[in-house]
Amino acid sequence: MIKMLHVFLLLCVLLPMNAHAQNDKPGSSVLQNIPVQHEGRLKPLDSFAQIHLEQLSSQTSIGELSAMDWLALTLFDPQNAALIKVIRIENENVRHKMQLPDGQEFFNLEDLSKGVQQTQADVITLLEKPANTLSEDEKALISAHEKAATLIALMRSFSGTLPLNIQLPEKYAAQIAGPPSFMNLMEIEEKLQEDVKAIVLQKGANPANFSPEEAATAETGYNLQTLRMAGQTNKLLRVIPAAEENNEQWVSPWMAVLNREDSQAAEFLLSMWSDLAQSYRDNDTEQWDIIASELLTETKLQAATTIPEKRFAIERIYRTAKPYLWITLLYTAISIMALFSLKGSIAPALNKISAPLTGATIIAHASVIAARIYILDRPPVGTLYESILFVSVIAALAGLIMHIKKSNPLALFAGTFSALLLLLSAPFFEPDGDNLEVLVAVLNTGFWLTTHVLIITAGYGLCVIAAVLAHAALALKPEQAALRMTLQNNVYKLSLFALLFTAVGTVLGGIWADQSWGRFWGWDPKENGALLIVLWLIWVQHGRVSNRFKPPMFLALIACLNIVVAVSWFGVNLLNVGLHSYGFTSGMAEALLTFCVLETLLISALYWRHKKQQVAA
Amino acid sequence: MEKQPPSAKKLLNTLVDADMVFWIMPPLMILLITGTLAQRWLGLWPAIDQYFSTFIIWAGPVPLPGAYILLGVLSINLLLKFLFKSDWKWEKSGIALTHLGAIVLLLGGLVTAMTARETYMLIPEGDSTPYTYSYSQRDLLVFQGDDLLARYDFEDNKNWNFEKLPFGIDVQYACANCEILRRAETENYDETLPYQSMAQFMAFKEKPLDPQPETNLTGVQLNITGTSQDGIYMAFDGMPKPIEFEHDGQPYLIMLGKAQYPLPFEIELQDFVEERYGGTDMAKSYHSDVVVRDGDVEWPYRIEMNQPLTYRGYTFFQSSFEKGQGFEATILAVVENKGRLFPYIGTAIMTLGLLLHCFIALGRKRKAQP
Repeated sequence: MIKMLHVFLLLCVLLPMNAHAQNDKPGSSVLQNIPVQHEGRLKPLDSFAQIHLEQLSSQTSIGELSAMDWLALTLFDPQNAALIKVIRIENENVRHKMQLPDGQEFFNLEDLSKGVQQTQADVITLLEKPANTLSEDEKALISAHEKAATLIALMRSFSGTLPLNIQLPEKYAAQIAGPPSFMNLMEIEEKLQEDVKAIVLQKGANPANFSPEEAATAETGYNLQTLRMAGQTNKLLRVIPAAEENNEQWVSPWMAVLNREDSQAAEFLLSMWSDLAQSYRDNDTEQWDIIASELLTETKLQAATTIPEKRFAIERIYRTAKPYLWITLLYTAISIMALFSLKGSIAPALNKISAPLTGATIIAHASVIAARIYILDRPPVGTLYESILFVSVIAALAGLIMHIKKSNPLALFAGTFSALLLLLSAPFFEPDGDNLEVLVAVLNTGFWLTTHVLIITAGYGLCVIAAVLAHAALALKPEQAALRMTLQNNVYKLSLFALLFTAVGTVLGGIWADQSWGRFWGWDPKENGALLIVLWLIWVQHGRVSNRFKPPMFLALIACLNIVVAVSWFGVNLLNVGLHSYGFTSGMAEALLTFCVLETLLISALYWRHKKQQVAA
Repeated sequence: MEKQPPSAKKLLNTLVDADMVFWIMPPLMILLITGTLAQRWLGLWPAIDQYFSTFIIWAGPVPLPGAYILLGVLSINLLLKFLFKSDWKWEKSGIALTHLGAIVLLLGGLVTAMTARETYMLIPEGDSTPYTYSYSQRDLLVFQGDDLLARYDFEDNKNWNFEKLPFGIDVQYACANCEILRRAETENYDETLPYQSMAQFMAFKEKPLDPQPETNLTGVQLNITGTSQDGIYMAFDGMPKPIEFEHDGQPYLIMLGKAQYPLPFEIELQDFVEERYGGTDMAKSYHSDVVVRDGDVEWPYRIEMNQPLTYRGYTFFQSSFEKGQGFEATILAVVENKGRLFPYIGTAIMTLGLLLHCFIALGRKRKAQP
């Protein structure tokens, strides 16, 4: 679609006519539950609006407009929507290249049109290059074009049914029923194109030789052709159920317009959407509410499968509640509380409430994971983002259990702090994590994959809390020897459980691979990453048993688990190779390297300080 | 005093020592990291061959132990320790079981490495086949009429011996992955040479191996003499028409292709179905409805992700598919592996052992401190 962006921009003059006024638009709340098929699943229109608004602007609202209000404006009153500065371009070099005004990051289509046309050729060349060879500026330029293309596609969603801003020669106007929309003009399109051919045959291709009526005919013919071409690629807003029974593919208004003869039911829905648009443009709130609710009922009736209304409701709550933000804030609060409960006059009071609060936070966190399972109707850990959500809850839970069992506030702090750090890293590794994505076929399978992923990620969680506690044990002062002994014991037991979970999780991964591809082990980067953690733990445990690793070294090497887990969990994704090449991320190599270096320095410093204290004692 | 060579007992003690695991782990981890990183530059399969499916790794002129040696020593150590040095007490039962599980897993790896053969079959809808094909091995086949006269493994193309054939063959050029060029545009084109069949128009040029061995286009240029149509011929993987000529009134065929293995039964593809997520090109699932025919017996089966077909020692997995205009074919991975059960048994034992060890450790008081 990007390749045709300049054509689409030219088509902006053909956007449906302006609505009368911008204020007092009908409320969009009735529309929010209309189902739309997007990225492989049905979701409420409200989710669709939020995903696209965040994609274009990195914001959840634009001024006073909620995402749903913005979408309604974009769909039904595109000429006014074109004036809204909704596209965010953060990259300064791209703004400069596209000759955009200085000092702002948000632009409307008018601002962008010149820059888009000027950089179109560059972008087409860039699209031919492998993605991993693109610079940050090049990626940002492509992203700017993608945003413009998405906005135009949305604005033009109903351009096949809405009245067009064109002057139709009188003889054709009389032949169509209703205002001059593309759908209505389709009735005379064949005749009109024949007339255009006849004019060109008679008078040549130069419009200067045409009479005013012939020029208007030729222009209308050209516009219809261009609209049809643009409409053929407009498949973003799939709100109309497929005509055939048992067909799960929904269609966009343009797809329905261009295949009208296939389904009367789709045409009926299209006419309802047109009426809805008209009531929006007329600011007729009463009509709007009636049509919107009828449209919802009719869409449900026409869908081949039942619309999952309860899932829609949970998804709407999930998106409105911003759970990631809240659980991150909760972990921040309880981490601070757990820290202050270690020492000081308020420690006893804080100690009493920190465990129940952590329990409540974990329940909230687990509910978020459960909500995702329910909405997506699949096991919880299919993407990198989901694995971070899961590992963090395991770390917090392990800390809480240790605290409840042995009244160990440091374990509680280690657990909640580990969870917090992991959650904070999530947006860097997968910024679109909360978009609730479907999975590719290989990841969307069965029992073995689910058990493998859950067990191995639980192992990662235990590794992380063991490593954080090992840091704490190394950092303790000589006079805290008793606490250090307790922590050493905790770290040892946690590392055993971490070995149990990572080893079993790794071999279960082999069993999944055997079930899916017929081979247990293929030395794939993800398999090797998981094995590396297991080998590290085996090595450290054997070193401890054979007394080659004294307690400080044992603790330092367990502290290094953070590095091993980070490399195995995130690092292998940077290689971009492998049999199961999913969950790949790019541009995180520097962050990962920085983390590994800083961790190594920190652990080395803690270890040497501890050794020095031992010698001094 | 002259130092005595180590006795068998000393060697046994070294091999049984628990410390052995401690010393093997670091090189194994280094091998794992370097072999994984190498995949980024070499590709998956070449890196596996170079680092993991090997006894020796050459770091320049220096030989280093490959995965076979490291895992072999580890296996022997675990086995001997389990047999001769296990501490048969309840507190140590978890460790013993875990070690036993690891031994079974490693043994399974050995059996798999020695016996497993991974091939594939491509079946168009409505067709059936009793053959599977190698991903990487290519064979040059010589037929007299319908009878297979000789089979030559492409990897040994420098040592092919054609003496038993009634005509002469000289290998002029061979490439494991060839680029096809126009003959007339090649540097050394000599129009006076007796190029035959496709060789009149096409020539080979070697190019780097593809990381996916099945996609390599393997080819040979042969000078064939002593026949009724002597000349320079070409044969390559997937060539639509074999080399054909006559000798002493007998028809001969030469073709190059993926090594083919017969099955003791045949499989027919009735329907291949690819489901996509609504409104996307993203695959949701795929499956193949097949009929297995073994003599007079036949039955239908659906092969899909995580639901392979296992019959007479062969397991068929849904691997991929091909689609064209009016053409749909399934690609099934076919694995013969006598070690297939080992990972399942090993995993069960190891899980039990680790669980036992963890709970025994939890039950211990201060004794467990490091």
